[in-house]
Amino acid sequence: MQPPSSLETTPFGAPADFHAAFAELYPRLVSYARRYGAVYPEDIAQEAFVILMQREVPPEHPTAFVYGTVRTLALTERRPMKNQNLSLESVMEPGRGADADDAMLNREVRERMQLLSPTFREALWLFVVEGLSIKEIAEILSIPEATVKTRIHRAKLQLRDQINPGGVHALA
Amino acid sequence: MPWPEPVRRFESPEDKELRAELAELLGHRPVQGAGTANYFGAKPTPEIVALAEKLRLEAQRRRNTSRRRPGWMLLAAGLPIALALTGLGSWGLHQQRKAEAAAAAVRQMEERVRHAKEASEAEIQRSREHGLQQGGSLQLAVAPETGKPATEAEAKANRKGRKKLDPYPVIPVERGVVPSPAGTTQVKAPQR
Repeated sequence: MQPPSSLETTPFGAPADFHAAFAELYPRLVSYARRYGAVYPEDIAQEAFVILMQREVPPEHPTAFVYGTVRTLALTERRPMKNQNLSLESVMEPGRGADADDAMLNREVRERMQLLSPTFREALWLFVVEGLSIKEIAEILSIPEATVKTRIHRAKLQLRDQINPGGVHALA
Repeated sequence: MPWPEPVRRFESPEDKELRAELAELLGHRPVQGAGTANYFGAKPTPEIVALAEKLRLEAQRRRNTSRRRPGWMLLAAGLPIALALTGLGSWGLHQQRKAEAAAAAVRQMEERVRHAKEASEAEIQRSREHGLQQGGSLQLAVAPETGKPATEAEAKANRKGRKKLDPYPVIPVERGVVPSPAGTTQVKAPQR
């Protein structure tokens, strides 16, 4: 039997804080899982929250933890050995999930995102659209913060090239 | 009230500025529509709260029902393996000792054979030397018949007259007259 204190607290604080965090994060996580081509994005997002709440020692960054868990679960679901009957059309590269962008981005942003390389697109998506910090993105993607910054800056250069093709611009 | 995220609350101004710049480059603005009405900074609806509560209870249920294996169970599971390894090790040590003892016995036997070989060789050598000496003495025994001394020392002694090499005197005895033990004399019967 768990002590009463652990029943009442969550990784986000009090139950009311958890409700607020869930209300904000759940739709984002569903969309994020869909971007990875997940067949059941809602299930993945809910499972990520359960895994987070199940932990005895809460993680330092709960938001990054649930994003990372969703990413892992979505990629695991896409594994060919576990999804023999999954059609290739539904398994797409990250950031190109079917209709994943429609709810959150307008057409112009979507087109610009599509022109970026998938690696830069993922970091840019998490930074700009999801509003996550560099530290959180580094934790989600399991890469150093410096690498995240590099990817975001390169994405920025690619975006500038799209807007002003052949133009001269400073690095950074 | 939006849920406060500590990491983003302490985000540096440079990062905020970079995000704003990138959003501008992308042309990103939060879309106002039916599909996104509850996405950002929205107050939790009763359905969302119910779902969150359901997930929280599910997490608690999993935490309460998850079996934590105590240390003694792991120990008990590892005991047969440890015993098997110990037995195997002791058997190996026993075999090693046996092999060492056998090797020592073989060494001792080889040593004994070597000693015996050396002894027999020495014996052969001795007997060979002894045989040579005996051959010399045999020659000495034969030498008086030929009238020549066997060795130089013998010849020297002969010259000094210490030893005579003359044959022993033999008294001829008539065979027909042999004294009887009773003092009688047996005479040969006259021939007819």
